[in-house]
Amino acid sequence: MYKVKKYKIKNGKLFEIKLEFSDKINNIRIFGDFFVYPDEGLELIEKELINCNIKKDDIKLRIDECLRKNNIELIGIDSISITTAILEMIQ
Amino acid sequence: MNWRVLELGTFSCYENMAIDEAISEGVFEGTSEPTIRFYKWSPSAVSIGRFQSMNEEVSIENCNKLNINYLRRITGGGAVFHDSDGELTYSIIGNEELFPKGIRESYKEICGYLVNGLKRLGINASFAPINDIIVGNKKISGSAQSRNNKILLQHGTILYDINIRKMFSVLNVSKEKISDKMISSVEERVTSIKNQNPNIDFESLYKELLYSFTENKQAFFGKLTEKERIRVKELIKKYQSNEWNFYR
Repeated sequence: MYKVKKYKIKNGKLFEIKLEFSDKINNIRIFGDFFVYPDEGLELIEKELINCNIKKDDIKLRIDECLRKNNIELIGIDSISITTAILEMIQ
Repeated sequence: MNWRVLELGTFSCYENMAIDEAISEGVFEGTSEPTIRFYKWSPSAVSIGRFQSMNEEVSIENCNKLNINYLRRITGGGAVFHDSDGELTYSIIGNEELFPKGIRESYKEICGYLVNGLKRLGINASFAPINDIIVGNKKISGSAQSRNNKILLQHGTILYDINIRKMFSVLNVSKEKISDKMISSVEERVTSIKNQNPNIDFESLYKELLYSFTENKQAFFGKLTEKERIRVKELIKKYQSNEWNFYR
Protein backbone atom coordinates (compact mmCIF):
# COMPACT_ATOMS: atom_id res chain seq x y z
CA MET A 1 0.00 0.00 0.00
CA TYR A 2 1.15 3.57 -0.70
CA LYS A 3 0.15 6.62 1.33
CA VAL A 4 1.18 10.26 1.61
CA LYS A 5 0.58 12.32 4.71
CA LYS A 6 1.41 15.81 5.90
CA TYR A 7 2.10 16.03 9.61
CA LYS A 8 2.36 19.19 11.69
CA ILE A 9 4.52 19.06 14.79
CA LYS A 10 2.88 20.88 17.68
CA ASN A 11 4.33 24.42 17.68
CA GLY A 12 6.78 23.23 15.04
CA LYS A 13 7.34 22.47 11.41
CA LEU A 14 5.18 20.76 8.81
CA PHE A 15 6.63 17.69 7.16
CA GLU A 16 5.40 15.11 4.70
CA ILE A 17 5.89 11.36 4.53
CA LYS A 18 5.50 9.12 1.50
CA LEU A 19 5.18 5.56 2.70
CA GLU A 20 5.03 2.20 0.95
CA PHE A 21 4.14 -0.55 3.35
CA SER A 22 2.72 -4.03 3.89
CA ASP A 23 3.17 -5.52 7.35
CA LYS A 24 6.55 -3.74 7.26
CA ILE A 25 7.87 -0.49 5.85
CA ASN A 26 8.87 -1.15 2.24
CA ASN A 27 10.00 2.37 1.40
CA ILE A 28 9.82 5.79 3.04
CA ARG A 29 10.63 9.36 2.02
CA ILE A 30 10.45 12.27 4.45
CA PHE A 31 10.13 15.84 3.12
CA GLY A 32 10.14 19.25 4.75
CA ASP A 33 11.94 22.43 5.74
CA PHE A 34 13.70 20.90 8.73
CA PHE A 35 17.48 20.55 9.18
CA VAL A 36 19.52 17.37 9.45
CA TYR A 37 23.20 17.30 10.43
CA PRO A 38 25.19 15.90 8.77
CA ASP A 39 23.39 16.40 5.46
CA GLU A 40 23.22 12.72 4.49
CA GLY A 41 21.55 11.86 7.82
CA LEU A 42 18.02 11.81 6.44
CA GLU A 43 18.87 9.22 3.79
CA LEU A 44 20.45 7.08 6.53
CA ILE A 45 17.26 7.26 8.62
CA GLU A 46 15.07 6.41 5.63
CA LYS A 47 17.30 3.45 4.78
CA GLU A 48 17.27 2.25 8.38
CA LEU A 49 13.47 2.19 8.41
CA ILE A 50 13.15 -0.16 5.43
CA ASN A 51 11.86 -3.58 6.57
CA CYS A 52 11.01 -2.17 9.99
CA ASN A 53 7.90 -3.57 11.69
CA ILE A 54 5.15 -0.99 11.87
CA LYS A 55 5.14 -0.84 15.64
CA LYS A 56 5.75 2.26 17.70
CA ASP A 57 8.73 0.95 19.68
CA ASP A 58 10.40 -0.65 16.67
CA ILE A 59 10.18 2.49 14.54
CA LYS A 60 11.32 4.89 17.24
CA LEU A 61 14.13 2.60 18.34
CA ARG A 62 15.46 2.25 14.81
CA ILE A 63 15.44 6.03 14.30
CA ASP A 64 17.06 6.76 17.67
CA GLU A 65 19.68 4.09 17.09
CA CYS A 66 20.45 5.55 13.66
CA LEU A 67 20.78 9.06 15.17
CA ARG A 68 23.11 7.79 17.88
CA LYS A 69 25.22 5.56 15.63
CA ASN A 70 25.78 8.27 13.01
CA ASN A 71 25.89 11.31 15.31
CA ILE A 72 22.91 12.82 13.53
CA GLU A 73 21.23 15.93 14.88
CA LEU A 74 17.69 16.80 13.83
CA ILE A 75 16.31 20.34 14.09
CA GLY A 76 12.63 20.98 13.43
CA ILE A 77 11.70 17.29 13.38
CA ASP A 78 12.28 14.39 15.77
CA SER A 79 11.95 10.63 16.10
CA ILE A 80 8.66 10.84 18.01
CA SER A 81 6.98 12.95 15.29
CA ILE A 82 8.19 10.66 12.51
CA THR A 83 6.98 7.60 14.44
CA THR A 84 3.60 9.15 15.19
CA ALA A 85 3.11 10.22 11.58
CA ILE A 86 3.88 6.70 10.30
CA LEU A 87 1.49 5.08 12.80
CA GLU A 88 -1.29 7.50 11.87
CA MET A 89 -0.77 6.70 8.20
CA ILE A 90 -1.41 2.99 8.58
CA GLN A 91 -4.62 3.39 10.54
CA MET B 1 43.07 32.92 10.93
CA ASN B 2 43.03 34.88 7.70
CA TRP B 3 39.58 35.18 6.12
CA ARG B 4 39.09 35.70 2.40
CA VAL B 5 36.30 38.08 1.45
CA LEU B 6 34.65 37.85 -1.95
CA GLU B 7 33.07 41.18 -2.75
CA LEU B 8 29.44 41.54 -3.77
CA GLY B 9 28.75 39.86 -7.10
CA THR B 10 25.67 38.95 -9.11
CA PHE B 11 25.32 35.43 -10.47
CA SER B 12 22.73 32.91 -11.58
CA CYS B 13 21.37 30.62 -8.86
CA TYR B 14 23.38 27.74 -10.32
CA GLU B 15 26.62 29.71 -10.11
CA ASN B 16 25.85 30.95 -6.61
CA MET B 17 25.30 27.50 -5.16
CA ALA B 18 28.19 26.03 -7.15
CA ILE B 19 30.53 28.73 -5.79
CA ASP B 20 29.48 28.00 -2.20
CA GLU B 21 30.05 24.27 -2.67
CA ALA B 22 33.38 24.72 -4.51
CA ILE B 23 34.66 26.92 -1.68
CA SER B 24 33.55 24.33 0.90
CA GLU B 25 35.50 21.67 -0.97
CA GLY B 26 38.54 23.95 -1.21
CA VAL B 27 38.44 24.67 2.53
CA PHE B 28 38.12 20.95 3.24
CA GLU B 29 41.12 20.17 1.00
CA GLY B 30 43.14 22.98 2.55
CA THR B 31 43.50 24.85 -0.75
CA SER B 32 41.07 27.68 0.11
CA GLU B 33 40.95 30.06 3.03
CA PRO B 34 37.79 30.32 5.11
CA THR B 35 35.58 32.64 3.14
CA ILE B 36 32.89 35.27 3.51
CA ARG B 37 31.00 36.26 0.39
CA PHE B 38 28.08 38.48 -0.55
CA TYR B 39 25.96 38.02 -3.62
CA LYS B 40 22.80 38.73 -5.57
CA TRP B 41 20.82 36.54 -7.96
CA SER B 42 20.14 37.21 -11.63
CA PRO B 43 17.79 36.10 -12.98
CA SER B 44 15.58 35.86 -9.90
CA ALA B 45 15.31 32.33 -8.58
CA VAL B 46 13.60 30.01 -6.15
CA SER B 47 15.73 27.75 -4.00
CA ILE B 48 14.28 24.88 -2.04
CA GLY B 49 15.74 23.24 1.04
CA ARG B 50 17.71 20.04 0.64
CA PHE B 51 14.91 17.89 2.06
CA GLN B 52 12.00 19.46 0.20
CA SER B 53 10.23 18.32 -2.96
CA MET B 54 10.57 20.63 -5.96
CA ASN B 55 7.17 19.68 -7.35
CA GLU B 56 5.50 20.25 -3.99
CA GLU B 57 7.10 23.64 -3.34
CA VAL B 58 7.58 25.36 -6.68
CA SER B 59 5.32 26.29 -9.59
CA ILE B 60 7.66 25.23 -12.38
CA GLU B 61 5.19 26.50 -14.98
CA ASN B 62 5.15 30.03 -13.55
CA CYS B 63 8.91 30.05 -13.05
CA ASN B 64 9.37 29.22 -16.73
CA LYS B 65 6.86 31.90 -17.78
CA LEU B 66 8.56 34.56 -15.66
CA ASN B 67 12.18 33.56 -16.45
CA ILE B 68 12.76 32.58 -12.84
CA ASN B 69 15.27 29.79 -12.22
CA TYR B 70 14.83 27.11 -9.59
CA LEU B 71 17.17 24.74 -7.80
CA ARG B 72 17.76 22.65 -4.70
CA ARG B 73 20.23 23.95 -2.12
CA ILE B 74 22.64 21.71 -0.21
CA THR B 75 21.34 23.29 3.00
CA GLY B 76 18.09 22.41 4.73
CA GLY B 77 15.28 24.81 5.51
CA GLY B 78 12.45 26.10 3.38
CA ALA B 79 11.78 27.42 -0.11
CA VAL B 80 13.01 30.97 -0.72
CA PHE B 81 12.25 33.37 -3.54
CA HIS B 82 15.43 35.29 -4.40
CA ASP B 83 14.29 38.46 -6.11
CA SER B 84 17.14 39.90 -8.18
CA ASP B 85 16.55 43.36 -6.76
CA GLY B 86 15.05 42.42 -3.43
CA GLU B 87 17.71 40.80 -1.33
CA LEU B 88 21.32 40.55 -0.29
CA THR B 89 22.68 37.07 0.36
CA TYR B 90 25.76 36.09 2.34
CA SER B 91 27.76 32.91 2.78
CA ILE B 92 30.30 32.08 5.42
CA ILE B 93 32.38 28.95 5.00
CA GLY B 94 35.09 27.56 7.22
CA ASN B 95 36.27 24.68 9.33
CA GLU B 96 33.82 23.84 12.13
CA GLU B 97 36.51 24.69 14.68
CA LEU B 98 36.18 28.36 13.76
CA PHE B 99 32.60 28.40 15.04
CA PRO B 100 30.77 27.33 18.19
CA LYS B 101 30.38 23.55 18.22
CA GLY B 102 26.62 23.42 18.63
CA ILE B 103 24.39 24.04 15.63
CA ARG B 104 22.14 26.45 17.52
CA GLU B 105 25.09 28.36 19.01
CA SER B 106 26.76 28.73 15.62
CA TYR B 107 23.55 30.10 14.10
CA LYS B 108 23.42 32.58 16.96
CA GLU B 109 27.00 33.74 16.42
CA ILE B 110 26.75 34.16 12.65
CA CYS B 111 23.28 35.70 12.75
CA GLY B 112 24.76 38.05 15.37
CA TYR B 113 26.90 39.64 12.64
CA LEU B 114 23.72 40.47 10.75
CA VAL B 115 21.99 41.79 13.86
CA ASN B 116 24.94 44.07 14.61
CA GLY B 117 25.05 45.36 11.04
CA LEU B 118 21.33 46.06 10.99
CA LYS B 119 21.53 47.81 14.36
CA ARG B 120 24.23 50.12 13.03
CA LEU B 121 21.82 51.01 10.25
CA GLY B 122 19.29 51.98 12.93
CA ILE B 123 17.16 48.86 12.54
CA ASN B 124 16.32 47.25 15.86
CA ALA B 125 16.88 43.66 14.79
CA SER B 126 17.19 40.63 17.04
CA PHE B 127 18.06 36.96 16.66
CA ALA B 128 15.07 34.59 16.71
CA PRO B 129 16.27 31.01 17.19
CA ILE B 130 16.89 28.78 15.40
CA ASN B 131 17.86 30.66 12.27
CA ASP B 132 15.87 33.86 11.81
CA ILE B 133 16.35 37.55 12.42
CA ILE B 134 13.35 39.63 13.28
CA VAL B 135 12.44 43.27 13.69
CA GLY B 136 9.63 43.52 16.22
CA ASN B 137 7.82 40.30 15.42
CA LYS B 138 8.52 40.38 11.68
CA LYS B 139 11.14 38.27 9.90
CA ILE B 140 13.78 40.20 7.93
CA SER B 141 16.37 37.46 7.42
CA GLY B 142 16.60 33.68 7.30
CA SER B 143 19.67 31.45 7.19
CA ALA B 144 20.51 27.82 6.55
CA GLN B 145 23.55 25.85 7.55
CA SER B 146 25.18 22.68 6.30
CA ARG B 147 27.98 20.72 7.92
CA ASN B 148 29.89 18.21 5.88
CA ASN B 149 33.41 16.85 6.32
CA LYS B 150 33.82 19.16 9.34
CA ILE B 151 33.20 22.19 7.12
CA LEU B 152 30.47 24.63 8.09
CA LEU B 153 28.66 26.46 5.32
CA GLN B 154 25.98 28.95 6.28
CA HIS B 155 24.17 31.14 3.84
CA GLY B 156 21.25 33.44 4.34
CA THR B 157 19.27 36.27 2.90
CA ILE B 158 18.44 39.76 4.09
CA LEU B 159 15.24 41.09 2.62
CA TYR B 160 15.89 44.47 1.05
CA ASP B 161 12.54 44.90 -0.70
CA ILE B 162 9.63 42.47 -1.00
CA ASN B 163 7.34 41.63 -3.88
CA ILE B 164 4.92 39.27 -2.15
CA ARG B 165 2.62 38.78 -5.13
CA LYS B 166 5.55 37.70 -7.33
CA MET B 167 6.83 35.45 -4.56
CA PHE B 168 3.50 33.66 -4.31
CA SER B 169 3.28 33.25 -8.07
CA VAL B 170 6.31 30.98 -8.10
CA LEU B 171 5.84 29.16 -4.82
CA ASN B 172 3.20 26.45 -4.85
CA VAL B 173 0.36 28.15 -3.09
CA SER B 174 -3.07 27.63 -4.60
CA LYS B 175 -4.62 30.60 -6.41
CA GLU B 176 -7.48 30.65 -3.91
CA LYS B 177 -5.00 31.18 -1.14
CA ILE B 178 -3.27 34.11 -2.85
CA SER B 179 -5.94 36.38 -1.57
CA ASP B 180 -5.50 39.92 -0.32
CA LYS B 181 -6.05 38.50 3.15
CA MET B 182 -3.13 36.12 2.76
CA ILE B 183 -0.88 38.85 1.39
CA SER B 184 -1.79 41.05 4.34
CA SER B 185 -1.05 38.16 6.64
CA VAL B 186 2.45 37.75 5.16
CA GLU B 187 2.99 41.51 5.35
CA GLU B 188 2.25 41.21 9.05
CA ARG B 189 4.93 38.56 9.47
CA VAL B 190 7.68 39.73 7.11
CA THR B 191 9.51 43.02 6.72
CA SER B 192 12.38 44.41 4.67
CA ILE B 193 15.07 47.05 4.89
CA LYS B 194 12.95 49.31 2.67
CA ASN B 195 9.94 48.83 4.95
CA GLN B 196 12.03 49.76 7.94
CA ASN B 197 13.76 52.75 6.40
CA PRO B 198 13.29 53.69 2.73
CA ASN B 199 16.40 55.88 2.90
CA ILE B 200 18.80 52.97 3.36
CA ASP B 201 20.30 52.15 -0.03
CA PHE B 202 21.58 48.74 -1.02
CA GLU B 203 25.22 49.80 -0.96
CA SER B 204 24.94 51.00 2.66
CA LEU B 205 23.39 47.68 3.67
CA TYR B 206 26.21 45.78 1.98
CA LYS B 207 28.95 47.93 3.51
CA GLU B 208 27.54 47.56 7.03
CA LEU B 209 27.26 43.79 6.74
CA LEU B 210 30.73 43.56 5.24
CA TYR B 211 32.00 45.44 8.27
CA SER B 212 30.13 43.36 10.82
CA PHE B 213 31.15 40.02 9.27
CA THR B 214 34.84 40.99 9.24
CA GLU B 215 34.97 42.94 12.52
CA ASN B 216 37.61 41.40 14.83
CA LYS B 217 38.86 39.10 12.05
CA GLN B 218 41.96 39.23 9.89
CA ALA B 219 40.47 39.50 6.43
CA PHE B 220 41.52 40.32 2.89
CA PHE B 221 39.67 40.83 -0.38
CA GLY B 222 40.30 37.88 -2.63
CA LYS B 223 39.07 36.04 -5.68
CA LEU B 224 38.17 32.44 -6.42
CA THR B 225 41.20 30.24 -6.98
CA GLU B 226 41.77 28.61 -10.37
CA LYS B 227 40.88 25.26 -8.79
CA GLU B 228 37.61 26.67 -7.44
CA ARG B 229 36.73 28.19 -10.81
CA ILE B 230 37.17 24.85 -12.55
CA ARG B 231 35.08 23.13 -9.86
CA VAL B 232 32.35 25.80 -10.14
CA LYS B 233 31.93 24.98 -13.83
CA GLU B 234 31.48 21.30 -12.97
CA LEU B 235 29.11 21.95 -10.08
CA ILE B 236 26.90 24.27 -12.17
CA LYS B 237 25.92 21.18 -14.16
CA LYS B 238 24.84 19.45 -10.95
CA TYR B 239 22.67 22.39 -9.88
CA GLN B 240 21.08 22.60 -13.34
CA SER B 241 20.31 18.89 -13.43
CA ASN B 242 16.91 17.34 -12.87
CA GLU B 243 18.70 14.49 -11.14
CA TRP B 244 19.68 16.84 -8.28
CA ASN B 245 16.77 19.25 -8.33
CA PHE B 246 14.06 16.60 -8.43
CA TYR B 247 15.76 13.83 -6.46
CA ARG B 248 13.09 14.13 -3.76
